[in-house]
Amino acid sequence: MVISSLIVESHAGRTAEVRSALAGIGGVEVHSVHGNSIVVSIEAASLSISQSISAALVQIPGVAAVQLVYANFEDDPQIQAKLKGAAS
Amino acid sequence: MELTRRNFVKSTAVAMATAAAAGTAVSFAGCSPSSGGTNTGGGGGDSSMVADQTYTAVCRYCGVGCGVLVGVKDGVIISVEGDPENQSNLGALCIKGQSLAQLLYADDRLTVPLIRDDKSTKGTDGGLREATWEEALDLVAEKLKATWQTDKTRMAFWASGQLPITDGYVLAKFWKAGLLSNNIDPNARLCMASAVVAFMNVFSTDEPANCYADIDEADVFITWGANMYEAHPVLYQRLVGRKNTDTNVKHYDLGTIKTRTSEGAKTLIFNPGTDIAIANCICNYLVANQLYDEAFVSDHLKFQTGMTDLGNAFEDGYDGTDVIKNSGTTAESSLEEFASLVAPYTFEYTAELSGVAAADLEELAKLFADKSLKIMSFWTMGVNQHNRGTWMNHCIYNAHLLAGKYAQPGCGAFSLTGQPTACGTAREVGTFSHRLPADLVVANEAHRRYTEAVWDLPEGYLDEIQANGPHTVKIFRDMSSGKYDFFWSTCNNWAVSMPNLTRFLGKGDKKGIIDTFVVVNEVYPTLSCQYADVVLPAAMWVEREGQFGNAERRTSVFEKAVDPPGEAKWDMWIILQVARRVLDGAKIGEEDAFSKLFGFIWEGDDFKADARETCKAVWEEYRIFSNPSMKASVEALNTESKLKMEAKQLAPYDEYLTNHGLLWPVREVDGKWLGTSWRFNAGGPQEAGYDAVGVETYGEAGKAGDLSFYKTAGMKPAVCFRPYEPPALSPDDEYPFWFVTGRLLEQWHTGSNTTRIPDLNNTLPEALLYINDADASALGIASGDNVRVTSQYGTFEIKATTDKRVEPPAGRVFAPFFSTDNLINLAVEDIYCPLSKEPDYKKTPVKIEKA
Ligand code: SF4
Repeated sequence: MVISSLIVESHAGRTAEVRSALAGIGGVEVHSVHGNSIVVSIEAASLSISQSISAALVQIPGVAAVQLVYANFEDDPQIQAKLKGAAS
Repeated sequence: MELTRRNFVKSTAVAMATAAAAGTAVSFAGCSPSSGGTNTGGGGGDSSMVADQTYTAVCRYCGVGCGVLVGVKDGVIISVEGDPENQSNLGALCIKGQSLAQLLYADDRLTVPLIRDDKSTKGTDGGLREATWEEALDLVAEKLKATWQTDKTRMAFWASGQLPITDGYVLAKFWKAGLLSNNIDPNARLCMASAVVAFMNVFSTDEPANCYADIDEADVFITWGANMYEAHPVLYQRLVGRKNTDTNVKHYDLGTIKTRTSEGAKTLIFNPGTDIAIANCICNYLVANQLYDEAFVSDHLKFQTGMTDLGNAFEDGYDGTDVIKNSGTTAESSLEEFASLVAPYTFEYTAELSGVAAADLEELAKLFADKSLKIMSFWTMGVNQHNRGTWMNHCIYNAHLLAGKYAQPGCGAFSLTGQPTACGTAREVGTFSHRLPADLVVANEAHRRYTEAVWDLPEGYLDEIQANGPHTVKIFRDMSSGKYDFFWSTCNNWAVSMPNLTRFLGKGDKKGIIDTFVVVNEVYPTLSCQYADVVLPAAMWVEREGQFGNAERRTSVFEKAVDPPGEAKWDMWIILQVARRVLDGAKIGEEDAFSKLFGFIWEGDDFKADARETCKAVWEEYRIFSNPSMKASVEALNTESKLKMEAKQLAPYDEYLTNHGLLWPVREVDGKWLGTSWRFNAGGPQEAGYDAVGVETYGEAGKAGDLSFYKTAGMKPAVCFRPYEPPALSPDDEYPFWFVTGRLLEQWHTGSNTTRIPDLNNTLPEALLYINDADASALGIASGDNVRVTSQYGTFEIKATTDKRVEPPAGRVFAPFFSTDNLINLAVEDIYCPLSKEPDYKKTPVKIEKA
């Protein structure tokens, strides 16, 4: 699994609306809300899917920005293939 | 990943984000150097959970210049995080930055040199064959040398705001001193030239006086023709963070179309080109009502008038007309004369002209009159890519300077850049056709002498290049007229980014680009490669060491983290391999020209040292320009010609690694190298980011706001009156729509890299034409329909959308340029600002038909 954590920053007054939109997206888990900052994690089968999800978050109405805090993609198939290539 | 490890990684990730969210507002609002670490929870350390090694780097996309930490395992990048210690982003990254690890690994990387034997295959997918480096370099050098020796007006290099600083410096030295040619210009001509000319005109020194941390203290934001949500996401996030911490903070978004940046802002949509009238209207209110800052005006400012009625660059001979040759001329003026010149720009007149309500204009003007408010203006391509782009930059400074709102914490006028090192390389090392390194220009004798002293050249050696070279549009216009034999580019994709591609890609009579011998250094196949005679595969980003200089004057180093694939090579290596072949047998005085210029880093057929030591050696030479005390002959000229070269002072190379980037000018105080957050401002010590050393050395203490504009003649920047003059072309019955171009978040740099990142590309897979609902239904167009867009320059097909990501008002349409499937620049006019020669990409009249 590719696991990442992000902060979704919403415009003032739109946090609840953004939060419920986030909750409806597969692979996204909302952990906590701090003012207008919403902490989410994404779990996805590949880096590509993970980033498609985070890219989609940016387009949710009321979202001002999506900030990646941490991404671990050691399980990404493409990276695994590169690593295997490097090892061989 | 095993479940326990997965849980561990996930809980760590969430804990880091929670800590960062709790700290985000604090770190961005306070922006103290020590608060940055809270923003990402110290992600760098955590990447060592899996990475063998972590390297510091800078994002290679936009001009925000976010610091990143690159985790590498077994020679492969496995993680990228924001660098909390880089003060430009304090650990934040946008989705492009998050995807950086994928940047190197798309399947179609160029890994071997390619040669085209049959020119008739240009403009197609085929025709390139693999070659050895020896064959490719020999061929490129042979063609360049032949052109250089026969007629060097028929060769050109197109440089880039993505080429790292030391590469750009070596390139400029090769072209200007080695080939004695000014036929070199960067792609920054297309995005930043108007800003540069205005900086030089007003302040006699390039680049902003303020810094990003000012966002955390501003009371009012004004975005002028800037879609920061899409184009400068991490700064926009910081801006929204500031608004979210204090509901009194206001944002005014001025533009010709509504964008995602408008959300939460008071949006003032104006008619194309009338931004100059709006800025003049603000100035009129300030001077007519004596609401300007009197102390600031009397201590710091002078007044000027300039040439007017400049016409537009329809004809190739435009630059040679008397009116344009004199277009930069100014005359001394007075506050009274300025007041009379802006007097016509009343709220009523400006409202009628611009379409912005008079009450809104008054509200805006009153902000500038309020002495207690800290205002930050930001602008980008809406201002720069403008047929009066330099003028509009002047006009923003006029308003800020009259109001005394410049170069202070939380308060200033800030020109943003689009590319990661438009400032650091394109502007600072001298890759413009009129420039030498460090703000010096070829036309100034003292500047040439100074450069000769740094480069150890005989006195007068550079006199041969005292006339400015051709600017970018002139190069392309002349190339399309068959006046070029050799053209070389790196880190850019002109076949997508130039305006009027119908002409410049030789559509129809196959002139120009087809006949010219074209060399392209690239990392992925681009449309430009389809027109190349030779494609040289380059190492990209952290496959080599380099440095970027971002929009807030921060220079940062990115370390080499992994090896390039196949036979891809470092751009500097490629440039020097060609240089040594072309300069073979050439002399400077009695010495071998190549050895004299590059013997300090090169021996035989390779670098003398590794990448780090090579970069350091180049940097130490470049640093002499801004640290004249490093060389006696240079120091003497700096004093004698009063050049004040320390105004751009740079630090020793290692300091940039230790500090995760530094803002120039960098000063040595008590053995420590300290950056400058607010140029010209002596309101505090150097340690706190003030320009204490600069003002003490060259300026005057005790002036209004503790400022001293020590680089400007008489220490007085000019408020120069610039009138509203209409766009070059306006919609008519045949071409009834304004066509505005721009960029959207996911696709950057003509898509040459971002289209390779599946997530970015999947989110924004194609360029769409954004059209207003009413216009769409009047034309019988539904969202998703293919339409044909045609101007008097050319035509292209594109899918229309009424999606609200971009909301043009009636009569205007918008599309981003990145897609080779929808080559929108086929229809974009090549009209440019007469002073900066930067094209206007924002105002082409077009017609739209259902395809
Ligand atoms: S694209 Fe720009 S804003 Fe995004 S991470 Fe890179 S430098 Fe920062």
